[in-house]
Amino acid sequence: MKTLRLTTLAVLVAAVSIAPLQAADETVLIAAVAEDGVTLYAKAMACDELGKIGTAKAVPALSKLLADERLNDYARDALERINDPAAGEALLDGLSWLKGSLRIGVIISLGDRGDAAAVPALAEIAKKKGEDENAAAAALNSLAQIANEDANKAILSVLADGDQVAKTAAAHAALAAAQRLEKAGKKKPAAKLRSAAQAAGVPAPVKKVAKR
Amino acid sequence: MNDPSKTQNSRRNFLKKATVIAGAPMIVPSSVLGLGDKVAPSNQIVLGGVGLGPRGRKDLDCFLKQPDVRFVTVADPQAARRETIRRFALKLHNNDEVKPVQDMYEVFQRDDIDAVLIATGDRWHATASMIAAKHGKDIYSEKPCTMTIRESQELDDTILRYGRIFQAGTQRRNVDNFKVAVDLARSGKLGNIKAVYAGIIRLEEDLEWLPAENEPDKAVIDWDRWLGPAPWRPFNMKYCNGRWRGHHGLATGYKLLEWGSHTIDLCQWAVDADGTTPVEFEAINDTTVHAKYGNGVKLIMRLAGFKGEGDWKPGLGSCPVRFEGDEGWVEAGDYGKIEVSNPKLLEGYKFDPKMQGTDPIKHVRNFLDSVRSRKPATCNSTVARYGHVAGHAAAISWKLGRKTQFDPKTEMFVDDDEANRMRSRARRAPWSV
Repeated sequence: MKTLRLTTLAVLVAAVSIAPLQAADETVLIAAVAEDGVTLYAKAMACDELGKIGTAKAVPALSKLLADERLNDYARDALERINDPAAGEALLDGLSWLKGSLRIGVIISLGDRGDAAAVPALAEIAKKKGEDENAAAAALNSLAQIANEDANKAILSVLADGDQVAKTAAAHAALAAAQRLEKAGKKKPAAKLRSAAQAAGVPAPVKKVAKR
Repeated sequence: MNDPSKTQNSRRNFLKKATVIAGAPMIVPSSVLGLGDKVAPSNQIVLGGVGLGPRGRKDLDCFLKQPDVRFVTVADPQAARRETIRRFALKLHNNDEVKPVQDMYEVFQRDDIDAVLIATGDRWHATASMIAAKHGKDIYSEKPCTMTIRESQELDDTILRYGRIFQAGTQRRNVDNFKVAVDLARSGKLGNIKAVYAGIIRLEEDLEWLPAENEPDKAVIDWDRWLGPAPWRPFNMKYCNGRWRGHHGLATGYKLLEWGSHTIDLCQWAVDADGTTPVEFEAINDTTVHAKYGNGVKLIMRLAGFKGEGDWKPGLGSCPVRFEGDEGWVEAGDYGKIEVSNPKLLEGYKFDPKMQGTDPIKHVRNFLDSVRSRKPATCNSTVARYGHVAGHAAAISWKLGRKTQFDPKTEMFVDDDEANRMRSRARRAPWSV
């Protein structure tokens, strides 16, 4: 219960050698994330707590951890949960300088946040121009989670113009977006996505799901 | 999503040949099988396993006792564990065709496999289930089936989207004495139900990382795959030997869902709440969480234990439940027995008092019958969704140390940003769905 947070904070305060416990929680946590010499463990715990109470103030420190292979998901997790555009912007920025799995993680997080501002960038990745297929598939999944008009257009575009591998990934995304839209009562765009998934020349089993 | 750790070529190959199967597998319904006899290979349900440890072996044993199951492969990032399963199938069931593999995608990508048994640690259950669903497999998953509220929603949505059969490993819905207890509640024989009680173990959160040890060769234990979508932490062999339990990020729900995924599930069933959750949660202490449904019925999660801990009728066993109406009560536990306020309540019921609550044999059969009939299994993904959401919400309320209000329709806490932030957790990349 509450005592657990105090215990965590006490560990972090000790780790960064600053501030009495009654200092603002977030200040202590940001310091633990940002300062050199703090253990991986303390940084991870600080990220966990910032995910619960962090604000835009924590974003710069968390952004720096995105490049750390061990702590990337802790930082992403906190950024996903901070309900401030600055967190989304930091993740979006990560697309330009992160590589491999770390970058795919950011793509996934942008979808989990439902960040509409990320749609143009995700759409570019989904088109696979110079992208690896896993990044493109992750981008399509994230577009499906956002499922606004532009995201749907991007999915439809890949269904129309992508190669077979991309089309199949886009068909999965189209079905996920359609399900989301149907739940929101938006039957027309959902039907369009299902129809496109059926018509896209994807394997027959996917078409069967699209018909459902 | 394909195994992201694979090369582009393998991804391409997968997407070309393996995707989603929408309809039923070409299997004859069990009603015409004559299950006591040998079943023709063409009518067998072909099963793969993922992450089968001690509990997985118990489940697998039940599967292998069914005449219409053919078990062909097991995936595990631990070489020793997958070899144990191969030997288990060979020695106990004379099955010499099990091919152990390290990568679960090799199981999901096999076109000949109809269904998978997933019995990894908590961290993998939902992610692996969703990946399996996208590959057109039906799924029996051990519990807790999800790590978070959001994952409970995602799992259900994915299963429904791909039209798969899903059975949560909350087998007590198919254990005789619990079924009788629930029937007493649902049939009105106890009068109007006022409160239902779910046995749980003591809530606690273990934030510790065990000391770092040198990672073994990937052929022995692939630590990255073992962790999967869970937050990174340094390798320690104890985790791989079962000591992941209770560790934050590897296990879920501050231990509430360890038993709660069973007992809350039964309570939900008893009060006909399979499509909803309580609207209010309040942790009284580390052993008791009170909740209340929208109609005023109370759900009380309280301490139970293997040694008869807590305020339960003695001798009923682990995972007890109690249903109280204004005309009577019933209590049941894992030892197969039932206690009632009036013995007359049990008149007309027949049940096997020796059947243990931990025994999944009938639950497994129910799953296999669903695979054939394409009718939802007893503990399908939607049933599991709301039972798990209730458990996660209760655990979050305990963690926060305050009363929370919850909206079952949006599956969000009301006016509580901190609680809502705890509804999800990022999966470690590249493991996603």
